[in-house]
Amino acid sequence: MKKTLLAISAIFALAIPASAPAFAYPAGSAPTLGLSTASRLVPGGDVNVVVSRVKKNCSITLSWDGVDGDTATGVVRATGKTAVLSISTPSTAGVYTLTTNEISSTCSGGSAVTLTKSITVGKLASVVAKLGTTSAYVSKSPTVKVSGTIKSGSVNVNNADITVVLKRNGSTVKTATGSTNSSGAFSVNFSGTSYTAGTYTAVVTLDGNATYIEKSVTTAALTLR
Amino acid sequence: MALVLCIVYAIVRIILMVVSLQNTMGEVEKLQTAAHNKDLASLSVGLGKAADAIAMADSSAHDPLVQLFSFLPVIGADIHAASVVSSDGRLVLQAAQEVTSVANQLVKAGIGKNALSDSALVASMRDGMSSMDKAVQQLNVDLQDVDPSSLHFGLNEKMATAKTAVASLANASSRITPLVQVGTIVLEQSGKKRWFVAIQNLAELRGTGGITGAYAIITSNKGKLKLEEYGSDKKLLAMGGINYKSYPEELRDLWGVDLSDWRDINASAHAPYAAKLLADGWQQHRGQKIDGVLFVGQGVVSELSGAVGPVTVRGNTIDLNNVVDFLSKDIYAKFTNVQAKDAVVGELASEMFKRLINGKVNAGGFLSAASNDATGDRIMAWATEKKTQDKFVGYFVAGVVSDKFGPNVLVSLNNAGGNKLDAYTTLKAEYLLGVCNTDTFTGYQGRRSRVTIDLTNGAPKSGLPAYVDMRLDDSFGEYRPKGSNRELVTVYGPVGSESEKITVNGEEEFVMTGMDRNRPVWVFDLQMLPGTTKQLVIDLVEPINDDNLELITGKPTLTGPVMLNGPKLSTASTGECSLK
Repeated sequence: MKKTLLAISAIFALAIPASAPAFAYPAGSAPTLGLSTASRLVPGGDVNVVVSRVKKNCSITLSWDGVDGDTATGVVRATGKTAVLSISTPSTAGVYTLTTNEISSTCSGGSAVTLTKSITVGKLASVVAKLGTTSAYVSKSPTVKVSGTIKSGSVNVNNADITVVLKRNGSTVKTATGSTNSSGAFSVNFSGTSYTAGTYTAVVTLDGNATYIEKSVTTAALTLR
Repeated sequence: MALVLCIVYAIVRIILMVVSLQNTMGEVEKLQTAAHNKDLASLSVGLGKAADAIAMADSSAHDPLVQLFSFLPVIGADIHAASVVSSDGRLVLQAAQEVTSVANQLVKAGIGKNALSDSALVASMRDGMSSMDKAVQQLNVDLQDVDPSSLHFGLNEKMATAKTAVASLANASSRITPLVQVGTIVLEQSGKKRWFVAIQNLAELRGTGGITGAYAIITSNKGKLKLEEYGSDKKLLAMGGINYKSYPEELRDLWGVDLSDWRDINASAHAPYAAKLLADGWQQHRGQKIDGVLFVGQGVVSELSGAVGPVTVRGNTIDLNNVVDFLSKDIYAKFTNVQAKDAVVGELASEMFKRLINGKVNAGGFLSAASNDATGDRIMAWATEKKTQDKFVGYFVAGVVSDKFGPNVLVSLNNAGGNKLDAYTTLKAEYLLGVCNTDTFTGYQGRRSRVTIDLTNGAPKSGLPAYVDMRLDDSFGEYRPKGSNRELVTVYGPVGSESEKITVNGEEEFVMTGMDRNRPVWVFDLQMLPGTTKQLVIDLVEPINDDNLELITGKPTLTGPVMLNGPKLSTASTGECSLK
């Protein structure tokens, strides 16, 4: 009996894919979310979207997943497509998920689906940071310094806020903030702190803003004896 | 006096070069007899003599004084041409001698039929073929710069003939070499290995080539091959769906396919994805481990047809001249019953495999088929074992979409109409690297570039069998006369690139977007009326530095779709950019 049950379970496990198949052959049968451009988007700008291969008169609503932002709604035409739906991007740069309402099986012609698309809004920057100290010995009450530069392509990122978290053996010791100058350089000193011997690193985060996407890097380790 | 001596010396060297080249040509002519007699040993000895003769010519050609003479008016072009032929030709002949020598030993050892006593031999064959291909391609490229009309002493006609012959040889070599590379890797495996051969139908395109219309299961065991099973896609479908949990989640919706369906698993151009699904599906339903997967289409089949000779199936004689058309067009007209059509393909494939495995092959036919192959087919191979897969990757036969920085773009096609109209699909594409001094939003210094694709549906408006021009996709009320098709055109941009503008026939287009192998991907969904062309343009901004802030250098490369009608591809650049 056990063997029979196991065999039946195995047959079902093989028959059912990772998730239920949405649409059958040929390729391109499923509803799609098409974009006119999906890159070089700025916060607060517009994204133009057309949802295709959905039954006539079905309603489509677009929104940003987890963000209390703009929404857009349209009705599918006889061509199986919505008109161009325009939706404003969130006001802070970041990576967001654009999502539709659940498209029912009646509307999709297959399984019910929710279309999603990961969209990058704003610019990415590269952060270069290093950790230094006035002395390698804790007995000398050293000042620990975190400095570096932030650039995006050929542009120095000016007047951007950063957060620096100093860690010892992986645990947070102290947090400080700073900002970049016109050369994209930043420098944050941790002074007046009593240090314990150990291995230190700093996590430097460019805070997300209206232009740049949040970006973090961890410095190379520094040992205080 | 010294000047006179120098001139005399150079003239003597030039004469030596010409005489040596004539000797080489004499030896090459003798080779034809050996080739005709299929006498590999004599062929190898003859190639050795030709290589020795051309080595003397090469030595003269490399003499600095002779090189100086190539700048002279009138005869300079002749000396340059002779120099190219001597230098590149020497490498070709030397590699050819190595290949024929090893081939002779492999034939004597009964390759494919008997267990291999020396696996190093097949590795030598692979290395020899790889070297020869490199030399032949270089000779072909260098000869393109030689203008026959600028030559004298009767060289113009000879050079024009040589250019045509070398271009044909280069085409043949570029098709045969990957087959040898894959074949020798399969043969040299230690222990029993099971290979799934996906026989793709390029009349219905997919990212890796075409829909898997049929399959073969082949085992290799220390160089001995055995055909275990053959079947059509119907047999695969009857087994049930594939559990596709291994497939990258972020790609599952990109092409709107059902990944559990054996016919839809190869929408991505990255062959390892589809190979893994085929191996998984076979394991899930048949309980047998697949050690590797090979993807072949009509182009590869035409090479094999040339190698095994004509095969007659149900009154139809299939040979290297008609196999591509037969399998992509004629078969549908002659066998309108799908079961009968599948049976014909099965009988043809079985006979070809049987002859291949029994060593009943004709090298001349193989070469002839390869040099005349105008398809855009290319073999792809994948293995579960890392060491073997690394070899496939190293020889660029793994169908891997690169995830590294660089100015390279890839285009693939997926038939979304569920028909066989891609026998009539043609594609022309250009990738142009443009102006510098701009930044990407992805944080790199960058440059503008443009990808332009002209896609044509050359299907006739009437007269095709129903099985060929059917439309299985939902019409949504669209006008779709006979011969109309639907294509998903996928463009893989360079790593870190982004689109500024996307158009079709000059109008803004809405495309599916995603990331595959670290690269931005744009999928165009196009309705194609018969006899029409659509032009797709993507304006890009792409990085000129990588994550280490190093300058990205190199010429642009554009990889076209694996398709029945070889794509016409071109690249251009306004020059190198520099970092600020």
